[in-house]
Amino acid sequence: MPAVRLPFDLSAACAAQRGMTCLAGLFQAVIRFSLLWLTLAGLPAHAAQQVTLLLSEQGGIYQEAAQAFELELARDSEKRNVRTLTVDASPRTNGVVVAFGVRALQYALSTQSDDPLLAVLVPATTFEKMVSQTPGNSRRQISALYLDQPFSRQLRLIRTAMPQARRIGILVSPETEEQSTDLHRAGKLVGLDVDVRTARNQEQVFSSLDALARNVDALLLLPDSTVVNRDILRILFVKTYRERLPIVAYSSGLVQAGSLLGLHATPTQIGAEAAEWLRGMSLDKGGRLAASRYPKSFTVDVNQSVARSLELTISSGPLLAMELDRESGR
Amino acid sequence: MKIRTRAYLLGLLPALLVAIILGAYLIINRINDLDASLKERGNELTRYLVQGAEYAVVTGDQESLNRLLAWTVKEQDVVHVGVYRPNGKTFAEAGNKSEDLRVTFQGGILESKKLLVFSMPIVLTPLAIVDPFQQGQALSSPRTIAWVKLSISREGNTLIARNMLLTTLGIITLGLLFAVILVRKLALIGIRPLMEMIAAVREIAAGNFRMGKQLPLTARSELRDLQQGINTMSAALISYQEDMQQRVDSATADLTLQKETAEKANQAKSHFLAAASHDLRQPMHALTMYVESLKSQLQNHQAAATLGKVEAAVSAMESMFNAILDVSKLEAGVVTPDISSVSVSSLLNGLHEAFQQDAVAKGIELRLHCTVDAWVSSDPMLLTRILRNLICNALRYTKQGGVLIAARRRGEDIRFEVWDTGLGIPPEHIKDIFQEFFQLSNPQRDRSQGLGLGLAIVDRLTRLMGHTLTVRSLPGRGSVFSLDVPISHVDAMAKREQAESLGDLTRLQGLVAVVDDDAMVADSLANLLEGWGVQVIMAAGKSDLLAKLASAPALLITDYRLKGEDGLQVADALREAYPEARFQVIVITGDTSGAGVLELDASGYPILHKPVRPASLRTLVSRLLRSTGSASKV
Repeated sequence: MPAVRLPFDLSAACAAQRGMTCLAGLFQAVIRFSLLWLTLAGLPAHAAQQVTLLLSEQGGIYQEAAQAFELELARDSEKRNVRTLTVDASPRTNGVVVAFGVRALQYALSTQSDDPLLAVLVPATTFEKMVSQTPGNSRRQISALYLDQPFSRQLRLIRTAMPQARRIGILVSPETEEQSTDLHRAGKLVGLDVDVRTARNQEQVFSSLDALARNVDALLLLPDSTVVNRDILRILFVKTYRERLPIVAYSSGLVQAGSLLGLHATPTQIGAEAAEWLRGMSLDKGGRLAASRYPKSFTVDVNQSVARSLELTISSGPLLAMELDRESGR
Repeated sequence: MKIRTRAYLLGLLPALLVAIILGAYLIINRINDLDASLKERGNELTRYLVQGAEYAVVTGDQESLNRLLAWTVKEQDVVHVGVYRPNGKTFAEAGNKSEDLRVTFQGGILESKKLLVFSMPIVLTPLAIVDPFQQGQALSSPRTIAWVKLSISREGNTLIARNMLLTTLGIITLGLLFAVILVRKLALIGIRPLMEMIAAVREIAAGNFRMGKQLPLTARSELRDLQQGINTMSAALISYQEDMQQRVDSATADLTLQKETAEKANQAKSHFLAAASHDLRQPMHALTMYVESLKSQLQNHQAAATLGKVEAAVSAMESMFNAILDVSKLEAGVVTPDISSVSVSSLLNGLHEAFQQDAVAKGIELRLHCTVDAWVSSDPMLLTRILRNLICNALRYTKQGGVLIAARRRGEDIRFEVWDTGLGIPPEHIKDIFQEFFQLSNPQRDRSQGLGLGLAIVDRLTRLMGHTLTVRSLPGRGSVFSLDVPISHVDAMAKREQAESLGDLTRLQGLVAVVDDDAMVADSLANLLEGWGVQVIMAAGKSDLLAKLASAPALLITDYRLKGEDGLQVADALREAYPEARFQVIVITGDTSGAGVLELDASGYPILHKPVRPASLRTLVSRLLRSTGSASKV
């Protein structure tokens, strides 16, 4: 099925197609690369690479990802100075900065440094917004390994887990409305009908859902604070359950709370992948930061209780992950 | 306290107390339980509603909310249910809303007499999940998005409580009935002999010595002796009573005999008096007529003074006869009062004037004190008679000081009073003074002191007319006789009658027939009548009269008792002879008792009793002649 076997970095390509900003960024990157190279040429060739791991806070997913990052980074023989700091200490960063989480990214952006900056555990839209809204970083190399999973992978998971599902509903708010084009495109690629409805505010969520529920076979949740609101989430699950509408979500917490399926990368996966990615860039040898992309690694969670309640037969998470891997040709 | 009452109290009171206290305790407990369970149910329902409504409120699913409320309100006792926004606006309601339902949102239960109102918030609790996409966003705190209010009626509980109360009362009543039966059957049977004895003793105390029947000897022990004793006592009392009855009967028989003897003696006295007065009356009558006619003939003659004394003696004698006659008439029951209105002031003025001379002659003062201008309802003649006798009596027994005639209003009566400063009456003689021939200070029976009939007549006349006479007296100080006569309210008519009866100064005219078998009496009467100006025809009987008459007379004056006939027959014969004519009849009689008096009374003719006073005769004759139109003014 060649139509389905798409390269998994499709989203990166999509991101590159997002218009003139991307092209300008590429041009800037070339200039920066030249400057960096000039700078590095002046330094002793064997000097150890400085890496600062900047955590939004101590513990939690940030710590977990940072540990995985360090482990993965230490797997080759290169000598590096790795420091782990938290934002709360308002530290001075030095060398390559790997920001774990939104707060760490915000801090790193605010330091007005020229050091390369790699953001992890940050949603794609948040990253784009923050970078564009923070002035004084035009010459800096900034890239991210997004927290989100690409739309195409999410839709493929639905198709794999529930082959009978044809139409997929997605609720967006003004916050995420601009992604609808990408969603439709991804749907077309995967071969599913995508129905996107907009809820202007929290009150409209249920009425929009009412309209959607009649036409679709499953609901795909996107990270959107209006739709996926902790206040109304329980009611949302009850409602979809009553409508017998399976939910596909983007985190293990949502699966535990009542979604049928969840597709996400764990902090460990993200940390390890980011380290591997950074290693591959060989920044200490004059390499440059690659463009931001979605993670290649992922985990599939299945809530079998929900599956039973909805009278659906769903394979286990690892099995579905393997199947998705096989499909993407990894 | 009676034995029966004690037995009932002993049997009923403890049972009643226990029943009431236990009943009240159980009912109160049950009501509390019912109330608690109602609250629990209300809380459960409200909690259920909160859970059910949360989803509908958040999703805005009005329809399912309405369904939920409609279903809830059908639950037993639920009156009203509603879901409201925190600002008080209504999401949905069902049931009947009453005024009691205005509750602020506080949570908990509000209790009223009829309702329990539960309110509970719908709280939206954020789901605590780890979402790496919402980094830095704090978990919001739970917030109230709506209130649920549920009203439950307490009426169901009230009804149950009422039914319980009624059932309890019913059970108590049944229990009491049972207790009453037990007391009767068990407790009272034991004391029945005692109760029977008490009843028997009561009967004896009430005078029924036979006690209905003898007491049955049912008791054991000492009570049996008591029963026997009561029976013996009853028998003894009966025999004693019978003995007493016999004695009383014989005493009564003796008394009856004595009474009959006394009555016979009294009758004999009356007969004697009647006969004697009748026989004496004839010559008295003639004597009076002669003295009257002689008076005009002996004017300016030296014998006139002697004639005056004769006249006074005749007059005294006549008044004594009149008194005896009056008593006879009153005893015979032939006097019927003719009640009309009498002017108090003119009556007393007349009396005062009439007795003034006597008082002056006796050297005592006669005063009149009359402040009322009223009319009384009485027989004018008889009332005058009563007062005359009283004044006369007072004057007679007063040697010095005076006599006061007075009248004053006393309620609806006029009280006539005659005061004197005379001898007074000892208390023990107050009753005797009204008996015939009783005189207080005349043991010598001096007839110039009267016969002692004045107060006897007063007493009889007073009783006859229904007036009240009272006497107060202090011996040596004087006496007061008071007479209460009811006030008359028919003044106008009375005045006219009074005016008519004023003395007339007419010269009489007309033909008068005089019939009497006693020629002397007839002659004296004719003499008198001719002196007044009328034409007289004398006759000894009816045939003699009819023979002498040429035309019908204007007036017939006849003696009642004639030879072989009576006055009434003469009148009848005259009516037959002159059926067209209008004439009046006067019957003169000496009878004071017996059938004749009653027959005369029934005839309706005016009657004069012998000896006839010329003044009375003149008044009557002139009135009768005027009514036939035979009188003319002089």
